[in-house]
Amino acid sequence: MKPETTIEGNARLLTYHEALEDTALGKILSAEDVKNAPEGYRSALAGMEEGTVIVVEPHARAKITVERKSPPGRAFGTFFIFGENSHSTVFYRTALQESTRECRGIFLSKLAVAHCCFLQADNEKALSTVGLVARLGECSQLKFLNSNIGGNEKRDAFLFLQDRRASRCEHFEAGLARQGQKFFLDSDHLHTAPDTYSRSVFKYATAGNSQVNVDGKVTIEQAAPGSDTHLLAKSLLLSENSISKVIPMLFVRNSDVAAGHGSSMTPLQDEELFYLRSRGIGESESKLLVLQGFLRDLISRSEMDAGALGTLEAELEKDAHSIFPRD
Amino acid sequence: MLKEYGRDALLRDAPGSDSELHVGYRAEHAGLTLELVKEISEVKEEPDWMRRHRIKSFEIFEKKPLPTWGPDLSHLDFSAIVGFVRPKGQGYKPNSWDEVPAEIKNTFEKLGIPEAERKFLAGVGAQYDSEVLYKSLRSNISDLGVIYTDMDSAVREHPELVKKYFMNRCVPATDNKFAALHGAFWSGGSFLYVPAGVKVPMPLQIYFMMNYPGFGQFEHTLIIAEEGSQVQYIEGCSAPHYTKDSMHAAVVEIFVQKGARARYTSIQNWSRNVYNLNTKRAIVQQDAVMEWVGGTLGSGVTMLYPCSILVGRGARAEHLNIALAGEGQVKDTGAKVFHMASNTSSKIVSKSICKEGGVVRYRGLLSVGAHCTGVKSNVRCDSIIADSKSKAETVPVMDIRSKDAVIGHEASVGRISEEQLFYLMSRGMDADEALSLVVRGFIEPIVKELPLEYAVEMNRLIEMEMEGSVG
Repeated sequence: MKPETTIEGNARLLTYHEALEDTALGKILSAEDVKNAPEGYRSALAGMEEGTVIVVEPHARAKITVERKSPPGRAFGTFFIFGENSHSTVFYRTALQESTRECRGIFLSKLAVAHCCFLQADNEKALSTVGLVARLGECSQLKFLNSNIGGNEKRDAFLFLQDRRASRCEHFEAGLARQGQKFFLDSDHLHTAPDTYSRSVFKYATAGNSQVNVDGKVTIEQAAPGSDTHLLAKSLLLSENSISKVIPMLFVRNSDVAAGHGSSMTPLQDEELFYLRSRGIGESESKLLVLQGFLRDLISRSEMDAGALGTLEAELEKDAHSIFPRD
Repeated sequence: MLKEYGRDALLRDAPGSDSELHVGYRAEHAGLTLELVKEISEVKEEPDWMRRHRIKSFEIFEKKPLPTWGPDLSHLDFSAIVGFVRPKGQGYKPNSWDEVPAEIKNTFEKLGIPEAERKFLAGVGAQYDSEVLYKSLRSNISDLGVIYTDMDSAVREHPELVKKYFMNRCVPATDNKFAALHGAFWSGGSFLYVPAGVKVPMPLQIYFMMNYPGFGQFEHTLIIAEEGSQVQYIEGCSAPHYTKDSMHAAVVEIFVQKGARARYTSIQNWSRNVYNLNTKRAIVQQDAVMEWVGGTLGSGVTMLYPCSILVGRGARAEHLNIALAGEGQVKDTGAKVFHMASNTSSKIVSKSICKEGGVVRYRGLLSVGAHCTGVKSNVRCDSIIADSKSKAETVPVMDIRSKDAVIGHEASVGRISEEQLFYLMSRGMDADEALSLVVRGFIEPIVKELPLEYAVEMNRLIEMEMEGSVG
């Protein structure tokens, strides 16, 4: 079953097999990239029953909305190809009822700009594995916001390949893990070309007996002088029984770089709660506000399409209410 | 404490004089075998429990695999390691520095040991190959009930204390392959016992010298700081350069009891063909403080992650480390802190410099157990890469299972700031002076924690290593 896809602007929707038949698109989607791809990507690609490819034409502007409510099979794929000098926004939302594996590809040509927002609000019993490969062309820019709200167990593995000079990649992860949920997030930024720039920010709140594991890896190879990277992971600890595990890794093989990472894990701060309570706001409402502030800060920095952000914030608020019901 | 005898003496790469002259007894064959384990126990006339401990450790060593992570250890050949060498002069303990055999004394005098003792140390020891050759403790300190002796003597003279603490709860032989190896072949090292309430006013020091080619040094350090006591212990390590690879697999166990404070400082400057694979750990009780200060300058491959297990409420740990990797060196170092009680806090600061193809890797673990409230921790690891042949990596793991923990972590990797160098050079400094000043600023948070003499030497060693690294 094809996803509900709305395209505004100069872009086209193809099946994976149709895209492979096109020499230029087939080259972009070829297995050459799969070698370095995360296991989740490779296994979903190998077992893929149906794949969707959305192609934004060169020099075009496009606004793409994709919504998946039921998966086309146990494994499927969704690929975005952004043509040279194109400018696109993508809002991709899943609300799957079944356990699935999915491979996603984001391929930016030279000078392309893409703002991609992925919201996973799957059924609370769904187990899902997502493998994503993003490849950035010369001087291209990718802003990528991924938010996990639903699902029972989520395993996301992302590879951002920056093998063309002067590409910029900003990766934002925001989510809320509730009772029984487990999120395993694996992000890998590979800089192999000069003057590449990347930022990764993870913000997760953990409630109940949830577990969030973040493995953030950035590698700057010798061939990437002038690269600039920073990785930040923040956890808001909402419960005694939750587990938050963060491994921010840096592998640097060139001296001409700026590289750093930071992480913090904190509970709800008494000072913030006191400030809100002293203004007459109830305890649960105060906690809700702090939690929303924690996540909204990141969402607003992602500079996504206003419609996408509105939907995302509404979903997060609904979820937050289940943890801190209004007084 | 080191003394200036030129670059070679400081860098420990100068060949020693004929090392065979210094050997009083050594294992007949190279190789780490069960026969050698029994032989060591027999030569040392150890009690039965220690002999059994060695044999059991050897069995564990044989079963345990090499670590599957970290630096490449495939060239480490256990069959080529000489497991036990007793220096000439062993068998009696000299009462004064003058009684130490001249050829050994010369080596330590180059390192400034007698001078250090005269100047400011409460106690000093020197281990040459497998055994501690010389140890002294000022009478005013021994009168307070402080026991500072070598481990072999401690096994004989204080068996109840050694049996209580030795490799059973802090670093058991089952911990890792090298701890098991150590449990089987350990020899020498320090035993330090500080009674309750005693504050040792001056640092205690030992210097380890590895002087036999292809040698494996397995000294054991056991420190017990009883309730309310305070002690500072300093270790220095050195070896001349031989063509055969050597190995150092020490174990350090520190027990910091309620309200006590212990500081363990280690300046490691083994030659560059030494595998330095140590296990260092402290168990820190209520309101006690454990401080680790380390400088890892020498050796070829180093795997060293000092660990603090904070088991008492209000316990605190501080880990400060400098690692420098030059050509052919791999420094896989870091720190581990386990917060297993409420209101515990920790601070980790790691500064690394790599150059000429060296690899520095910070590998850390910070764990906060469930139901531990009021935990605070801050981790900072910074690396400088001097050239594009070198590698800097950071792999910090944070595993938080408590709601009430405030954890912060920051890391940076980059080259020496050109703006800073330019600023200093525009004020008349040459490139090396400017570089030296920037590097000093980089390592300052750790060097300031060292006693003055060590701080000076550390600065000098790093300056010499960094010479010519600009441009």
